[in-house]
Amino acid sequence: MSIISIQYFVFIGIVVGGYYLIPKKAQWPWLLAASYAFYLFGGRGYVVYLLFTTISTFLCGRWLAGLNNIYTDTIKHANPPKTVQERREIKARFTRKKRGVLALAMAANFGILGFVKYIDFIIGNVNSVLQLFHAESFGFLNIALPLGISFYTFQSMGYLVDIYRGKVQADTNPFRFALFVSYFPQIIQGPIGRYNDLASQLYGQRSFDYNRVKFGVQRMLWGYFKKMVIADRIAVIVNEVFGNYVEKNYVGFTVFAAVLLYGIQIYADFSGGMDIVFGVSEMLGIHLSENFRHPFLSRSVAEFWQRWHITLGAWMRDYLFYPLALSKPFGNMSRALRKRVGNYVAKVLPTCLASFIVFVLIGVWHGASWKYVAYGIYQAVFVSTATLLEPFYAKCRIFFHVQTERFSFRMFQILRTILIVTVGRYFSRAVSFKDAVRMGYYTLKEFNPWVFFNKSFYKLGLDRENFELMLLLIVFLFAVDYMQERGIHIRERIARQGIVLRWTIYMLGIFSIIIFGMYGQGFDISTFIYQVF
Amino acid sequence: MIRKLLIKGVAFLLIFTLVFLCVQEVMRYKYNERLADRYRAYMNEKENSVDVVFIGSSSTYCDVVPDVMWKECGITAYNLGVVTSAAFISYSQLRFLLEVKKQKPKLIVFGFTRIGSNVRASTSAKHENSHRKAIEAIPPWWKLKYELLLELKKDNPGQNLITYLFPLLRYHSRWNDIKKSDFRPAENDDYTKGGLFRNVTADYVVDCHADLFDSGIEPVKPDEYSAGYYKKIVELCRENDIEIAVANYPKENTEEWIAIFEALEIFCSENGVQYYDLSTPENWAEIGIDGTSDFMDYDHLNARGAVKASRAFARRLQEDFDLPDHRGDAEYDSWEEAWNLFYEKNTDVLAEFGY
Repeated sequence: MSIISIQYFVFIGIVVGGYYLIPKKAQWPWLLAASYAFYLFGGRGYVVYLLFTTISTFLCGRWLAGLNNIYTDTIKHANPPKTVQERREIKARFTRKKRGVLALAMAANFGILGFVKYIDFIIGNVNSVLQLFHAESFGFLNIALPLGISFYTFQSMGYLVDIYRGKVQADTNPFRFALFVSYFPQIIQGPIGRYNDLASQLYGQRSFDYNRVKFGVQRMLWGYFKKMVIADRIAVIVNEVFGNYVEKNYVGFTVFAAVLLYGIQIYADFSGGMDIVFGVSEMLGIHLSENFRHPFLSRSVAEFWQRWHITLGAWMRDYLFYPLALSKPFGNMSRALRKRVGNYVAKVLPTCLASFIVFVLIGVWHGASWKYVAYGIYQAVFVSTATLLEPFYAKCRIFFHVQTERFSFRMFQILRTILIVTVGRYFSRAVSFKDAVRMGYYTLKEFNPWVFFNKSFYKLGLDRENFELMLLLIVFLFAVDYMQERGIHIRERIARQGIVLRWTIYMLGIFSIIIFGMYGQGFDISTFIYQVF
Repeated sequence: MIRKLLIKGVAFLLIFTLVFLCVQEVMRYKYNERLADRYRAYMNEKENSVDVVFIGSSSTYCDVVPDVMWKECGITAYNLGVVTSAAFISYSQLRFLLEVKKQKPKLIVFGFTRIGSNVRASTSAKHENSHRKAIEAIPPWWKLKYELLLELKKDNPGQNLITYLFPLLRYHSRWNDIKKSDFRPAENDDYTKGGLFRNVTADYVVDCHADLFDSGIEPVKPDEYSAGYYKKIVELCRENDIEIAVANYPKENTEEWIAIFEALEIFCSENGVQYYDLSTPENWAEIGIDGTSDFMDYDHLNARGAVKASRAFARRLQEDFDLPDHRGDAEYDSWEEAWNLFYEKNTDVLAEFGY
């Protein structure tokens, strides 16, 4: 069921209406039923994967909790250690066991994720090697990627690591846990939730709150506006240029503009999808972790990644970056380097390396293709070298008397970040790595700034009025971002207005989507870009 | 609290619906035939006052002039022809006519010219347009619309039904094509009784091609989909005790057209339906069709040709179906008034014919 469909509106109406009408005790089972119904609409076969992750994670969670309890019991009652050494040994023994359980669960779940997502990519690469030796190739498996598998697997594994670390208690009710894994608003494209934030909200009991529902509907409206009016309008140009740049010889600034527009498209698309998800969840009184914080106002690539797909970045930071950076091998590396390259580099280099690994994996998380590997490496280079070269940059700033808080410098930093991120988009949007490189070549093939003045942009699928509307909408999108960055709460401001102005705004919002939305014959609006990752 | 919320919710929905309908009316594509206006005019006629209805393609729309039929024979006729007129559209128009309980025509004359072609909404944007205008023109009788849409969907799976019920969802992208005329209601021309009457003459000669009629052209193979609907139409008319005829109007007789006429003749004889082929050389001669001055293009008569054809056809229909002459009947004064207005607007053409 697409979240841009009449069926989805009806579904949401039933779920939200039912949620507040049924006895409060039945609220979370109602959500669980709704979540599985929603998932089943997406394809019955996929539910097997979801059930496997749910059951295996729940059981391993209980196993870890059992080990934690036995450890506590051993230390405190059954066999209290007499010495510190003995205590350490007991702890090490239990940690080994817990690691084993964690590794088992992770191997099974990430194994499935990796298998369904990357097996054809691996087969393709193996075949390429086999072809060199004229050996017989393997056939592709063409396994359909289960809906939201990347998101719910990461969410479930985060839960297990949190139990392992003793940050959360394992859930005792398999059905309640099933709701945590399958909660329908977020299962398709995130955000990746944390058990300690989400569980208590999911299982809590709520009464109807008009303002909450109203704010939820408002946020949904904004999400639909971003997706259907902005993102899908930009998509027309992006698809035209990316799909036909060789045949129609799109070069220079035409290609670059399309890549820049793609960056805005994916932002409006993904954040729009998130707004819809948040809106639905808000109506149910469940607040999800924000996934975006005005990324186009970032002053560095590292900051961009703290504002873009925040929950994935946070997951990677907490469950991968820190364990890596603080691991024994990385510590040893730091100590070994100290004598050779000095304290600063020795201290920063392992962190940079961990950061590098994380960003490569973020790239690969997006999909099974060399272009995503390149995308990850590209981001990794900027993020990790920024830290490594910071002393050099600091010296430069002093040398050139740069005042870092001046508007002009901040603007320079923002534009520089947008430029760097945009270049990375060549990899993420192109069909393949080779295609991305070729598009880069087509960008540099000709210096043609006149395309901005000779109306050639009107021939890329949008007529003049639609193109101008698109530019206006982009300005509007960034203006809203800027206001939110400045702490202006637009929804609250609207809520404070009189009913006439408020309803006029709502009507304008709804009819803007109906009239200016890019839907209907000739448009495919049902797919969100991040839904396929 | 709950009462207040309910009132607010209902008020919001009402305002939304009102705005939606207004916006929809402005954004709706205004098809040339304005079938909705013609339907409305038909429904506004006095009870049981319409004896004949013409349904068919652009030939019907251009070539049949109800006002002339009235003046000539006192027949009360309505022209509901639409461009393309796929079999399904004729069927949906018949369903509309049956739904208007106020009227019960004695005779419906169909075009059926799509007998050999599979014209479905899903085959091209042009055909989708023609299907849309037929469905959209039906007043908000949701049950009928829904039933028709379900039938449409069977053979046109790509069509999004909700956009037929709420056309704004289809025409919303016209926002940059809106003109002043979109905000104005169309000029009232109910006096035409649905006929077009265009006084434009082709700058070429349209040939009857009499030689082709005896050249042994094979009839076109009836399309299962179209012929199926035509059979349904015949059955439905019989079930409702309405007489039915099929007509073909004068045009340049190409091999393709003659193959269709042949197939129509066979279809009509197999189904016991009266068939009129007004495009045969004999009928061209009898009606007095002049290929140099009576056509607006190869397939359609102009005002002059339409008057000639309508006069002749009205006489035949009256004779064959025993249609009453209502002229002079006070109950039908409105038809005389319509004729007067029609004459006033088209005196230059009609005066030629001694009216």
